Amino acid sequence: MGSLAAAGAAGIGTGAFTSVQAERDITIETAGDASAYLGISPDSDSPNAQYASTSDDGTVSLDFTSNEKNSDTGLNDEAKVNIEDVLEITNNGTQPVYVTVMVEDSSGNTGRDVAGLSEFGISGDDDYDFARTAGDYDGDKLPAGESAGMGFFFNWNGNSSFGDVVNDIDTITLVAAASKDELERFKPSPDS
Amino acid sequence: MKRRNFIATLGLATTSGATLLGTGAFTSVQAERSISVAVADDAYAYLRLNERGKGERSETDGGTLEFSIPGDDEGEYPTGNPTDPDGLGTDSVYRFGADAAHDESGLFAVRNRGTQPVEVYSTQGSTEGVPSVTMFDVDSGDLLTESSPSAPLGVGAGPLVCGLEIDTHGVPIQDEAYDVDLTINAVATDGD
Repeated sequence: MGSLAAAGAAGIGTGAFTSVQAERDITIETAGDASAYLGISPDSDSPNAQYASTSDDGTVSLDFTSNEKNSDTGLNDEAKVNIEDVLEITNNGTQPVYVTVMVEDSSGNTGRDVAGLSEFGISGDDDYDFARTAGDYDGDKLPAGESAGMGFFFNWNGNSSFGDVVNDIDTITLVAAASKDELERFKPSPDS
Repeated sequence: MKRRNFIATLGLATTSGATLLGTGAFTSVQAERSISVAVADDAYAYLRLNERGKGERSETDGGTLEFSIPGDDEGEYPTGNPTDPDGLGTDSVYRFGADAAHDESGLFAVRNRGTQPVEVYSTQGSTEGVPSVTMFDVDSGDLLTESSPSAPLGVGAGPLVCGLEIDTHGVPIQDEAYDVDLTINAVATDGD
């Protein structure tokens, strides 16, 4: 339909088109997280990969929700917990990218309205440091073709508790951006 | 022979186009046949659509622009340390603001060779179960939608350099590529 309209418009022949609709084909391939442009997989070299799992369709999920004392993956309450190398992040794109995370609660709040910078964040590994959260500092760029371990830290030593922080986080969105301008789009708003 | 077929197809397109434009003046087949039609390749039409960069994520098939993401030869980029992404991960929002070679910004450019300034935006028929695609202005980062189109693009003005944002939320990962039709709309602005 769209391209037909374009032909019709040209048919008027005045050059004064009032509207053109041109329909164009886009072929899009999908892939499991491990082999997508932004590769995400449990870090196979790390015991902390147990906090991550891959579903049958190749989608990776994280589970930090347990605070069961008997569980392997239970997080201590009233403690500062730093879990390194949970995920392995691979840049399968064609440009170096900054990598960070954006947190959101179920009401759509982002950033420090959900978790304070001292309460939750991510880390990179010895080679590439990731920005702790979106809107914080930039971290290092992960070159195309390179991988780095991503860790997570939780701190409810002070006024906040496990419930305050973990339960408030509804989604953790991984952000990879080729420029600081692009990163700005993920900066929590308002900048609190 | 091929050329004859092509012309025949154009005749059909004219009929539909005239109807679409709602002139209502054509009641007979003969009248419709009398329209003289010239259809140009995307690169030379009133609304010009040109690929950018080396065309590794786009191609011009029979004069019409198409996109493939990832591109057929994406596994050759970046030069020297190539990556080979299988596709887009699910539940993600990707922005493609350049060709895989990154030698020039933008996936494609829109130029106005008509007689009136136009506002440009994209629409997609159905997004049910397929990736949803929206064009964006690479320079400003703004999505170009019906409710928020581009600033008026003047006749002969510099190109509107565009990329594609692809949202895969709720889109299952599958081996077969998704085929999506994106309609690029150019609507003359009121007044001048």
